[in-house]
Amino acid sequence: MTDSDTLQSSKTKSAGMINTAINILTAPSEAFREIEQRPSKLFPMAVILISTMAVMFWYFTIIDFDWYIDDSLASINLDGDDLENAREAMQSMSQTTFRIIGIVGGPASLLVIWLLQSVYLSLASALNGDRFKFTHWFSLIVWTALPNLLSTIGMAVTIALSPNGQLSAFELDPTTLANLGMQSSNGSMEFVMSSLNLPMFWSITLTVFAYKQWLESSWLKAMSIVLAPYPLIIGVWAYFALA
Amino acid sequence: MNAKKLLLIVVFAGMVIALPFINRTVFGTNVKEVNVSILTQRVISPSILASGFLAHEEEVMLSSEVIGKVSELFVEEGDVVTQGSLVLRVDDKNFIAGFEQSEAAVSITAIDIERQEIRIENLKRQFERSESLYERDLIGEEAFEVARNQLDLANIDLLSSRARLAQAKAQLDQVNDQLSKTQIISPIDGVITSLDIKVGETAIASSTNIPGSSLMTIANPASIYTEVLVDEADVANIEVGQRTEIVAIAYPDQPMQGVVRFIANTAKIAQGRQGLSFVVKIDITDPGDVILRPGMSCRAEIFTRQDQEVAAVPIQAILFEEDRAELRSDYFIFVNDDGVARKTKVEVGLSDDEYQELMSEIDADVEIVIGPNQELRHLLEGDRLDATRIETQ
Repeated sequence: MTDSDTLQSSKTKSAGMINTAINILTAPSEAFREIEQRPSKLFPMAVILISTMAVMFWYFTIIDFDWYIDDSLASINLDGDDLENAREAMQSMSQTTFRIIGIVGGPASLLVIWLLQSVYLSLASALNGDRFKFTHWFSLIVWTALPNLLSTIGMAVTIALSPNGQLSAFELDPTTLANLGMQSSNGSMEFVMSSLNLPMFWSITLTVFAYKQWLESSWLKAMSIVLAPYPLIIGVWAYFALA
Repeated sequence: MNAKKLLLIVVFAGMVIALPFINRTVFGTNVKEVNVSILTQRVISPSILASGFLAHEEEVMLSSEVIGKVSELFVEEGDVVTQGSLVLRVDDKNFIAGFEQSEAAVSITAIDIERQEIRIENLKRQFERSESLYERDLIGEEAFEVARNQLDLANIDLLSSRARLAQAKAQLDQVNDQLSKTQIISPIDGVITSLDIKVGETAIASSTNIPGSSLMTIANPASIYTEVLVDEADVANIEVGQRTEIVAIAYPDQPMQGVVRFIANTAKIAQGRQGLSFVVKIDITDPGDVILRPGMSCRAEIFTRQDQEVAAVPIQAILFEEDRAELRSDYFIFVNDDGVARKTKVEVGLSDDEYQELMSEIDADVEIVIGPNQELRHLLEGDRLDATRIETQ
């Protein structure tokens, strides 16, 4: 293979990735066929993680640090000495430390969630005896997470509109249920509403569609297997959030 | 990519870009809810805090000048006594015996003098007879000299006896004084605030702080006052006659009124403090319902300027900014300019716990942002405000 062939192959590959990304949002069935044939992971991972890190870096660069500490403490039920101790603990950390935690923490938690989802679907495939392995499921999970990119764009617009750096982390993502109007006077419920966003539901729906398409299963089976962990995850989460 | 897919991408992107704008329009998240107030005239009472205790101005600690067992105690702690009343008696048997002995010595010496005076009278007559006989050469010179010598010696003996009498009388006075000191008398009108000895214990004549050296403490309850220690940095602002609010630790909700009566001329290092302090005495003019007990710990707030009305704002409305590089510090307030926060530099004056005087000219109808504190802390120039007018008293 000559250099020009390699360059041509590389360009074709990149164009294919971008095509798959567009298809995930506009024509999912085509995208699932492409992922089944070519279970790539690096491109969607890089797009999601780098964009998330860039937005979080921007957020922690423009944020009014003292205001951010007060705003963060206001969202947790502390008073008296506990509040002062928490404030001192947060003030003892530099803005750079917060920036590092914010930049690394979000992408790291995304990676962990993707891995857990992939391992779960791999185990389900092993029990069913189908042909799909971890590499297919991980690729699918990462690709179906691509709608998160819309959330990231929304966050960037929100940051750009913030005139004074006093922007709450909960107001950052315009696609969360809380920012779409589903606000609650209950603090714990408000936290739940602020943590769920539309791209998350979109991603889960895409995974159900992909499972049905790949395994040619019924809707009921696809939904049962893909959604099975969510009642448990949401139950545990809600228990701690509402406790 | 076909047109349909492109259109969908544009729609999705457009929606997420539009969402933050819609959020701001619908929820108005960047408007800050604040309380505002116009400038008011208030009495600012700058003060200095000092701690100390209650004490009696008229207070005496009685001690014995003689050593002896306490034979009688006529008072108990809390009893009211008048000046000159007998409060305690030390066993006086030895002192009475000594008194009688000295009295007898005076009597014996007086009798001696009487006897010597009679003898001198007799010798004087003998000398006059001898002198008459000697002038008529009826006796010799030797006999005449003997008579004169005897008279002279008798006079000297009389002088000696008179000196002994004075000595005996002085000793009697001394013993009498000792005897009188066995009776302890109250030197003032007052109350027994501390009784440190019991019947049967030995009273010791000593100035050192050993058991038995202190008999009791008598104090005039009407003379109670507050003694506080004022830091040397604050003492220049304190003057006699300044109004004071005193709070005894035992009555934290019942402040007493007082007036500064005395400021010490010399500073001292008080126990438990590192810097120099001045003793300031404060008369209690209105104790209210507080039952005053000497020794009570208390805190005094001395108002260093007499009450005058000035233009003032709540102290939390004043924001402080320090530029260490330029060694400059500035004070600011935020005013409500038709729903927009405007940062305004001001000059400030005196302050008390709640309000601070504004020296700068501020129009009477200007609304000043006074709270809440969590919003004021982070308020910025140009922030949009949802202001609620608060009428300060």
